[in-house]
Amino acid sequence: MQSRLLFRGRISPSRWLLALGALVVLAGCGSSTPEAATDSPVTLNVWLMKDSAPDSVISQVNQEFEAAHNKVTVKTQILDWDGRDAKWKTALPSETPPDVLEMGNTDVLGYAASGGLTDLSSRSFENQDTWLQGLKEAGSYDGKLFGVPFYGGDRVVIYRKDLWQKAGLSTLPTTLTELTAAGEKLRADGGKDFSGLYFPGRYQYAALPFVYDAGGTIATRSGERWTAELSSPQSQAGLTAWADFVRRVSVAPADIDETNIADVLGQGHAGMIIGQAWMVNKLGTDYPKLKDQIGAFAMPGSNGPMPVFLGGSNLVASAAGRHPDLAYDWIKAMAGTKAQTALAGAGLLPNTTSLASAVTGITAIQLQAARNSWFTPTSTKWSDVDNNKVLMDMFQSIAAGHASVPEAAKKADAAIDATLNGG
Amino acid sequence: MGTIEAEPVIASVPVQRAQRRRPRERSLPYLLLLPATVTVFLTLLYPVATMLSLSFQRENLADLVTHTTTWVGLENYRTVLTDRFFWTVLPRTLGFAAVCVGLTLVIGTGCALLLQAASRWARTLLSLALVAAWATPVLIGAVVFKWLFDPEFGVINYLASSAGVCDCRHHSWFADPWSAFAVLVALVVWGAVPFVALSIYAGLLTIAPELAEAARVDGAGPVRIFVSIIWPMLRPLYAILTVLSVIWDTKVFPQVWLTTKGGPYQGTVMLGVYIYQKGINNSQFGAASTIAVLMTVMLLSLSWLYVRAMRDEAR
Repeated sequence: MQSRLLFRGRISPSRWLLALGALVVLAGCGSSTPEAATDSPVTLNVWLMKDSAPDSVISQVNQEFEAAHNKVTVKTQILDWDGRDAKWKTALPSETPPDVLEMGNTDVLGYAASGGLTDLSSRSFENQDTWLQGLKEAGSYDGKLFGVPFYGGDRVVIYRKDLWQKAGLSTLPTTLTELTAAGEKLRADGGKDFSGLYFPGRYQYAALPFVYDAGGTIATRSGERWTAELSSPQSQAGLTAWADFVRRVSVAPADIDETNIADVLGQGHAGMIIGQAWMVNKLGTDYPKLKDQIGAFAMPGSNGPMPVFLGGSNLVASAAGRHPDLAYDWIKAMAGTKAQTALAGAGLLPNTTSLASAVTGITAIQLQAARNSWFTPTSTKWSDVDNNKVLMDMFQSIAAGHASVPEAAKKADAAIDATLNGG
Repeated sequence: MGTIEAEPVIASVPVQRAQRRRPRERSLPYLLLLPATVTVFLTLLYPVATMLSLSFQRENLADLVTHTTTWVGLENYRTVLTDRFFWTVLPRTLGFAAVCVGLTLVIGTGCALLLQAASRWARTLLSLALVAAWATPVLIGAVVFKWLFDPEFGVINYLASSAGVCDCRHHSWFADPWSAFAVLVALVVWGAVPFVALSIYAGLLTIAPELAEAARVDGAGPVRIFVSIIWPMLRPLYAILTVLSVIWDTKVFPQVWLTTKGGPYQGTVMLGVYIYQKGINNSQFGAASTIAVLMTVMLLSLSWLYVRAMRDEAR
């Protein structure tokens, strides 16, 4: 078909041979050394997530990358967190998967185990020795590195300074009791539809810290077997403390997640939220009047800061990608000191502790909180538990009064046990 | 769309008595059907065949990514048919579809009769409203409904609270399975009524006005006219509208996924959502395909029964 279009009219045998030869040469280039063909333009496909690295950092990395690599264009796509699995599961087995992907740190294990990602153990990266431990573990499977730490993030309390002042509050709380008192004061001051701290029932990553604060945990592992621990006395104490806190300070519905929290705070329906650090900047942009009225502090626990969930992202390369060396180079640039310093400036936790002195403001508060952090069970099946919304359903049923703490915890434990140990 | 599809049904009886034609004339229709047939085969048959073959394979995430095929025979069917949740979801799906189809047909008939009886400008207004709802993509309709019923920023809660009907700031319509189902039924019926209404209206136009006129002279009221004239004449049309509605409302997916995601506590999970959860969320593509096969077989046999009943009646 192709040759028909190129050679109109009758095709002589010699031309056939020429075409055949050209095809062989092209095919040879394609299969043996995919990157030797630097003469033809190459597109490096990079899939990043929403609310991740700011555009300015991405475009700077891309510009420098394109300048350093002749005839390479980087094409960046931004995916929504919701429904990301469907896109990854369609793309990874395809003929032309994206070369580099950002994955949430809870996502990497499952995909690494499936064989869809490239083993990056033999490659070297800047600051490799000082990577955030939690992110490094999240990207490692079977002793090999599949996900390079991209950035970390944890949740802090974000509050409205103007509303605090109006309620006569001044000192920032350092214990859960003080935070509860502040929340109750704000709520009493704000009226019927107002939350002291807006806490939706399905906000699992803000609720789980209460479990860890009380000495509980989601699940423990012995050998190959996982045991869910939400019914343990400590975990139940944490769940009870959470439910009590929410009842006192929040009027948020039990059945929704944290999608709207920033707007709830911005529109004046709450005095505080537990949010991600980047929301502070976003609130300033979305509600210019509040630019100087937004503050943040680490979430206090019953005794010292509350142990936060160390969230964040890793960068992975698809196993079937056509340009493994270029993918590595791009990941290396994004994970390197220069880009990471820029990320830290934008309110994200850099992937290395070596940049600790470079962070200020909200990022410093996050870094302080990250010192006392925890992570979801490191099972390849954890993303199934996550996708099945087991924990969200548990929290919702407690908050809505549909189930008691022991009932809800028992149900969640059964689901977690079945999924993590299932075939 | 509605009017075009509805007419062949009404005209089907005379067409069957067509005279014998010459061979060349008879081959022409088949030739004209060819492009559409080929397209349908390529776009429909391939996915269906893949689905059927997947239902006999293990196909987890690793199999998918590394292109491995592991045949497991009837294992998936055994798993699905002994899965207790499947037996919760199946009757729920059928019940939901039955309620939606019933409401759609009743409201659709009402709208059609209104279209016939209304003055010209009212008819134009009503048709415009129907066409606008019909033209709204399902996805957009679902997102609009989600925002209408949003607990914090939703118009429904705002209006109800302002009008003093209830104190429903923060009220969550999706927190309770029954109220979540009510919203879902409203969403599905809202999307389905226009097609049914316009089809029935087209059907009504084919009934000679003299019939109703004569009945009225004989003293028949509107109910009697509907039962004795309209219903018997439009019965084939109702049959096909029912089949189509049953199929559409049984495989409902975006409306549920974009609003409740199957919640609260899996309470609004129906077959379409269950397939998605099994396949995309839990990477059990084999089991998900098995449910899809079972659902296809179920809908095909249901339609077949209807079509046969309809044909028998026409004879």
